[in-house]
Amino acid sequence: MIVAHAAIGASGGPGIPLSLYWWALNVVFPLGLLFFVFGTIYRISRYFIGRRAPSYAVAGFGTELKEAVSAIPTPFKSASRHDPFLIVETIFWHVFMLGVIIVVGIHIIAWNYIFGQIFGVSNPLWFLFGISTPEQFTSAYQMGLLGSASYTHGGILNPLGAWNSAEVSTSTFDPWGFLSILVNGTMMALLALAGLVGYLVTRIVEDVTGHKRLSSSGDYVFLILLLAIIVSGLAAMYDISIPYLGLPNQANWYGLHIALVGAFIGYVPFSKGWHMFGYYLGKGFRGYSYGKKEK
Amino acid sequence: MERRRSDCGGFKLEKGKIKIGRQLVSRTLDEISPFDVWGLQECMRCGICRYTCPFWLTTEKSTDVPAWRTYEVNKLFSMYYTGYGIVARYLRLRKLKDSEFKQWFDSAYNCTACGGCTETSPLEIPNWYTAILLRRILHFTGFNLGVPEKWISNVKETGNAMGIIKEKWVEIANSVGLQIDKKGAELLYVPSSLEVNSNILGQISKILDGMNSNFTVSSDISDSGYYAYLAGDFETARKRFMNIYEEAKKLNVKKIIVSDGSSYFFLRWQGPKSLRYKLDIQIEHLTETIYNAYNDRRVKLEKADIKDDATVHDSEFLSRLGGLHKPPRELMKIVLPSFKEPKPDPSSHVLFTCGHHLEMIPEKKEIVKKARLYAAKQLSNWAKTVVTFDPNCQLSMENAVKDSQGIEKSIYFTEVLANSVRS
Repeated sequence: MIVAHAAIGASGGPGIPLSLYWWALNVVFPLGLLFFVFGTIYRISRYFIGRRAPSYAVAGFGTELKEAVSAIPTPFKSASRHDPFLIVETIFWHVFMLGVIIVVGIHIIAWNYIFGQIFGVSNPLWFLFGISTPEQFTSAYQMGLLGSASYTHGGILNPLGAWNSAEVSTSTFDPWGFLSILVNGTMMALLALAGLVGYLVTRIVEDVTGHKRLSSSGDYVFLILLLAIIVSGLAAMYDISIPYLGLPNQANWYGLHIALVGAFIGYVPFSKGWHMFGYYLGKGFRGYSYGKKEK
Repeated sequence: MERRRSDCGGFKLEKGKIKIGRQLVSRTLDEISPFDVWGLQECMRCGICRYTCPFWLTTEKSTDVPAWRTYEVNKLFSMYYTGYGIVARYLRLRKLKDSEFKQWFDSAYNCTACGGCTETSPLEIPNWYTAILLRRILHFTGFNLGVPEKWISNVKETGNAMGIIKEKWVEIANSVGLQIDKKGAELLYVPSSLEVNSNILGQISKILDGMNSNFTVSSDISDSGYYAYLAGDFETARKRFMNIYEEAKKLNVKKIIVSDGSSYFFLRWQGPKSLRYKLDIQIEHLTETIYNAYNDRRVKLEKADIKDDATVHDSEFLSRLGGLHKPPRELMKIVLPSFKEPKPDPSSHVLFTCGHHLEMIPEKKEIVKKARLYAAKQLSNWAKTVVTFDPNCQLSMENAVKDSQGIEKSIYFTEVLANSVRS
């Protein structure tokens, strides 16, 4: 990754302190991945270590997949009458956050780079480029003012060069058509943020009023970390400056964003974030320890 | 809260402070499976599970949210079995407060373990099970309620949760013509303690005779033993479950037949899991036996003499937790002249639980009455006469009739089938 850092020139040269971007990309993120791998082993082993009663039957791949999808409407139906706000929060957060992670051009490039490095495969996410969308609806890519040539002409949008999504987004505006009013980085991030803030507010209100006293400190750490990731991502995209505090330049915003994502990835196996895998895993277990789906 | 001395290791009451140690946690969680660990740890605590729990809908208390119980058990689990939890415990960042323990006492029996919350939960967390784990801690520490403790001592002393002694059981069985300890019979019929009366047993005998079945009962088995489990004493329940499996082998029968939905669940699923025992004998609910025989044209079913519109209260343990969906309703469709089938599936999360075994606990009388109203009102939308498949449900529905909660009559399924099954 040092080579990559040098190639994109995110930090100064010899004698200039390494930037937050460098630390994030070369230290925090790999450490996050390392924590994730060991955390995952630890988390899964906790299911089995000790005197655990055996579970004789396990669902097949197809059953798990079917369960994972078919089980979604049930809690939604239950909550819709009593707590519609929770449903809106959940949909906003999950749908739009997945959108931001999977289809926003700059993220595809980032994941492509990261997975490529990890697995030693060139361009592993090639299939996502065709559906990529720009970071913002009003971006110059869409107005045709800039394009893939912009990078060649100096890469004016951010200092990351190789991670500039201009080259991706320009050619992929078409698949989303008018939907790109919604399917663009800014809009989806803001909607996901709304869902997340809703989660946070709901939790605080319910904890304070004692209506549902179910929060641990970890629940708040988890939500606040996610909040910081979205805010730093938006700040990086718009190069937001902070008055009187000096200017964290755009590379440092990106650095902060990548560092937070790295921290989040490392934290997932130790937090509720694990449900992104655990949900699916549970569909294989569910019912078999007490029969229901055996029939 | 009545405080009694407890000889359980891992629990101390010092200067009014409660201390729970590893020994108690280890004993409490001695049968959990990988899925249970997953369930404890994976709960997102969104609280959606509460919306199908009539107890929470009644009280709206945070400690009656099903996930709250899972959260509490998870705290205990993590304090002793996770790296972070152990460190947090030593640093006293994570500890059990006295007030929390008091809330366990209040909350553990505000749950019938019906599994509705599990069905509703996005992650399908087994909250019904964690309620029983809390009872288990109450049992070990001497804080359990009086009636459940009585069930336990009765099972230990007489093998029957209601304290029916062997001689009395044999007398009743003889009086209704049930064959006792017959070796080489095809079926072993195992009643549950609420079914040990000449009325229900007489109907069972009539049904099995009507099917031309080669069956027997055991003089040693007058109860399936699950009340001890529901009261938190897994050890006593396990012993009982094992006795039943061994008795079936001793009598050389091919199947164990039960007529109580809860017995089916515990003997078929939870018992083997709790015992780590690979079940090697078939367990059937009586409705399943009849339904299979009907489909194989070995029995005929005649219309029952019930003129009213009638619906069914699906036993939670039979359908939602036990996985037996079709036979009970299909049989009622055939034999009830005016059957009004509930719209939801038998294991649907929208079907409310009745008061079930909590009906017998005096301390829970008021809350059970209020919670039961949800099920009674729901059923009365379909019909005023209700057929049940579990004696606990029958008791609850009878109480609903007494309390004028919208139901006018409750009938146990054996009564419906006694005059309908013909070979």
